Amino acid sequence: MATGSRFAQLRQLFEEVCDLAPEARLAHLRQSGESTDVVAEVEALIASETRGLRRVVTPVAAILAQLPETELGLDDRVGAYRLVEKLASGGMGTVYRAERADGHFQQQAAIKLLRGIPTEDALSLLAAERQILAGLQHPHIARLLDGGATPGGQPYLVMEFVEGIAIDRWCAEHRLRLKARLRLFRNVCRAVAFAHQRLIVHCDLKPSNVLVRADGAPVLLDFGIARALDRTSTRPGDAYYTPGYASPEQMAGAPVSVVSDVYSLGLILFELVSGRKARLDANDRTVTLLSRGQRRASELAGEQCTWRRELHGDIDAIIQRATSRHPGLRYASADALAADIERHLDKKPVHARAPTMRYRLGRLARRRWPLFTAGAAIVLMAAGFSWSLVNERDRALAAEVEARGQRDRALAAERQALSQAETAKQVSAFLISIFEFANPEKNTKQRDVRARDMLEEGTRKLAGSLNDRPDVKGRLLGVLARAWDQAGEPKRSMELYRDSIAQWQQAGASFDAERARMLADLAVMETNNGRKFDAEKTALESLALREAATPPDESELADSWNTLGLVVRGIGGRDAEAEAYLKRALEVRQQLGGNTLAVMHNLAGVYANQGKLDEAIAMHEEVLAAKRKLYGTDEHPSVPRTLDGYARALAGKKRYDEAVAAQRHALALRQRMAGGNEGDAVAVSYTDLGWVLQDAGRYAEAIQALRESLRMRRTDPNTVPANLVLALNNLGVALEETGDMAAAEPLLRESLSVRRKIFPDDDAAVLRGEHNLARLLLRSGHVEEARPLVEHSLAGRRARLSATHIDLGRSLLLRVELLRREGKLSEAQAALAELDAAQVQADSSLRGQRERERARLAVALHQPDAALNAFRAEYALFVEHYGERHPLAAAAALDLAEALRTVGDAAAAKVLVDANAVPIEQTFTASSTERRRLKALRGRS
Amino acid sequence: MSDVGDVTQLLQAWRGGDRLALERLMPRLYDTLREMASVRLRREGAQQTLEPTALVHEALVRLLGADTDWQNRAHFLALAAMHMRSVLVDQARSRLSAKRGGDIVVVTLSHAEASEGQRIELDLIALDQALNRLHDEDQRVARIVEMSYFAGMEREEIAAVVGISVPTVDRDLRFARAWLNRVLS
Repeated sequence: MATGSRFAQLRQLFEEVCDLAPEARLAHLRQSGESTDVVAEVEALIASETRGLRRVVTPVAAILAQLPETELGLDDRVGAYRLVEKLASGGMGTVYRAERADGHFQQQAAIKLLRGIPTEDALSLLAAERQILAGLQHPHIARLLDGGATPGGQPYLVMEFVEGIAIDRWCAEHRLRLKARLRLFRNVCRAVAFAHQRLIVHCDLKPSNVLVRADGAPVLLDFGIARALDRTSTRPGDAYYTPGYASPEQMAGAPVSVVSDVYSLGLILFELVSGRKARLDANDRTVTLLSRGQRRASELAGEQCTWRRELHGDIDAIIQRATSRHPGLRYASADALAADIERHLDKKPVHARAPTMRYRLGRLARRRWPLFTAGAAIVLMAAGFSWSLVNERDRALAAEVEARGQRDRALAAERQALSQAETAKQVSAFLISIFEFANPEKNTKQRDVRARDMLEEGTRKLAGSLNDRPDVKGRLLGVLARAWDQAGEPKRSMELYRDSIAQWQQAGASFDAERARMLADLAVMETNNGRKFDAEKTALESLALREAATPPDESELADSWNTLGLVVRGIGGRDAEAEAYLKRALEVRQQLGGNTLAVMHNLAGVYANQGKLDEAIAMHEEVLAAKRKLYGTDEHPSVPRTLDGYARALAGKKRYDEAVAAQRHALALRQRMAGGNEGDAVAVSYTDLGWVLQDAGRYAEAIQALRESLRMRRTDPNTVPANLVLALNNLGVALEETGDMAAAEPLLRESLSVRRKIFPDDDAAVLRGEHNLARLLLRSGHVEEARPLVEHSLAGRRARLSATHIDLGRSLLLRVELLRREGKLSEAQAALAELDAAQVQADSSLRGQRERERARLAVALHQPDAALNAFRAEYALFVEHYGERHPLAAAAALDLAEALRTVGDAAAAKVLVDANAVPIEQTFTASSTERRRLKALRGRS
Repeated sequence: MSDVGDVTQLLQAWRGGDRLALERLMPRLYDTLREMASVRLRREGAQQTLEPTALVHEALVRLLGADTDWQNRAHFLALAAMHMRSVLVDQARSRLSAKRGGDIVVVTLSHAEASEGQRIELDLIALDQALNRLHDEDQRVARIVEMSYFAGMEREEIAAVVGISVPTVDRDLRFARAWLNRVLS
């Protein structure tokens, strides 16, 4: 129902029906419920719509005056034909199905009665054009049989009658798969190309002009007619075409050529593969977005399009090339377009895509897919080439030119180009030699080559080659480093990064940018693999190189700031610094473009560290949404990464169910992407899941996940020790927290001994290992063995950590506990006083533990009231930190219950015990002190 | 040319919301266009061609310089469209009255045939009146027609100046064309 003024009603109704076929239009108008005069006016508007979008005013009335409606009707004779049925009516005129009326033989034809009465000259020109078109004989082009003018002077054309349905409807009705659609479209292109070779341009290609016969053969209608009419028109530049599919130059009234048809074909292809109209509803900017290359077909394809992901890449590029706004950027001919479609169907590189190494290798790998059992990693390796050589060259070129000044520009450019071409050749030769390794014809011994074997082979081969070209070697080492990282072997990856950096250094100062990039990549690897302080050094080195560049490249600097932010965040305790780095990086990338999502992801992590959980959650959600939109799928490595941070922030807000769901989703994605292989990412994901489950108090599930992670670390011979340590520690601590000291002890012992092997004695990692083992030993009664560990750890932390570091607080607290358990109560009191006075930024968990220690010390000193107060504080803090009914809070409840009973408040104690019995029984092992204490408390009540 | 910087500044001030800048800009623009049109008509004699689009773009280069940025260009053209229309209509009116004196100047718009005598002037005036009617119904649509027809602006440029999407420009133009044709037929 239209609202508002009559004008607005007219306009709305006009837009609803202007693209409909006459029958559908009539039906729509009838159902619109508008008054008859509005309906009549809309029909008049449609009738007076001239199709040309002319941008300069021409004698408007003159144009309009000469549009008499076709004066013929059904059963009238036109030449040797009798009009039988009206098929369609459009901008050019009206089309009828006709039969031969002279009785000589049975023949059907389509007759197009044209609008307007042309001059004599124009008619004879039209006749000449007709002759040319009549010579256009191709099985997929409807023939022009005849033509002439009616006694009233109205010109008409007689065409072969094609029984078929429009190509878009055909595809939809037959539910053609993507490949079948592409093949059909390829045939259409070939037919258009046939005409192009005869210098005949269609000028009005659209789905309704491409019919498909029952036998599946496409037939093009109206070939060259628009053009013929245009040339005979008394109004030059007033060509007939359908705006929906016309090229920009056609709409601008500029001369048309074969590439105008290529454009229309591109839009038809888009519609066929995406299942949606190129120009449809009110705010449809599809065509503009496509032809400017701002959006890809795969992004624009509708949700119902089941093969969207298959469009990604080749088809996107083909459509973009065909529909480019600039005629010169399109395929030069319909043949070239057809050829690219064929190349895609044959899985060969299509010309529409820049011939980057990564892409070529990708195609090669796909073509030989059956040869590879673990081909995914090969593509990943090729993807390591994410700096395409082309870009690389441009960048190097710019630097070179800058350095040498104007005079040598041409010379330098040429030399650089040659050198880069040489580099590209050597790189590709090398990579292809690796692929040959996987070719069963060349490598007969090993029929079944795993991707890992190929990487091994590549790494081995590279070690001994290209020693005279450090730049090429540095580049390839970088590729391999990335590939090993992707293959889940960070240790080898980092070694190769270091080799690569050394090569770049050898290659000289002109490759500082490359060296800086490798350093930044290495820094990320290091921080992700427990070498946080190395990482900071590496990242600073990278930053220094980039700052020294003249002029410094802002976006490279942004990369360094992002890396540093990440690294500093990982070190911990320096969140403000990390935040500043990241904000700086974000600012630059927002201005210059670049991956802002990565920086936002990192920044969200800093917010989480700083306890700004709401901000962290919001930012993670923003990043997640953007990534999903960007990739169109969750199965992209960066999605689970953000899910991890998101889950952690949710857990921080005690939104455990959501957190666990997010974490499980991340794990499932990684498993799916790893294709059943167990890589580093899956192991890390199990760990993260374990942590979130622990936070949620679901210890049984947590321990299961952490066990799985440890199992993977142990079975993988390439595990980085730091990661093994982490897995040992996490499982050990989780078991310890459930009171299963016997199971936890060997893990924490192993954790410490590995730490001592790989880190220096006073490394933070060693100190943590000592601290954790000491705590376990203390609580399982091995006070003597615990003492040196507690002291060494505390001394180290005093020396290394800032006065506010939470780990220092943990160490100070553990010393209180040690002294108390040794019976040195006054020393313990002094130690506790020291902790109270310390500047440590304790979280509620640590404060809770401190109150528990204060209470236990009070118990030892026979001060029941002080103990009760402290136990109350402990319980409140634990509830605050973990949430009520969390096993650790429940254990604190036992403390409080015991204290209450001691002061004679059995009723309150019972309430607490009853409320917390379930989590205790479900979580803690039968031999644990918690279970024993629970039993004791219940037995007495 | 000292003019260049000046006009650019005025344009920028106008884009920044300064209505006064527009008022100062308008007469300059109108004068330039009128002068260019009449010089051409005088110089070329009786049988001559006048393409508003070309004229507007020439005025652009003259007032703003050849390498104007995209946005200034679009906003300039939007303004110029309005003036081009009045220049043309004024010229048509004066020619129609001059014809009574017998001195016929045929102005051809675009590449259209020039043989229909004063019909073009009449058409132009009819179009002007139709556009005024359209303006009463829907200001935006009328403005868009003006920009497209009298200044040859690209759809993208129109979209940017008016602050609507390109498809909306297309739909406006399509409807306007049908509506004008209907009104004028």
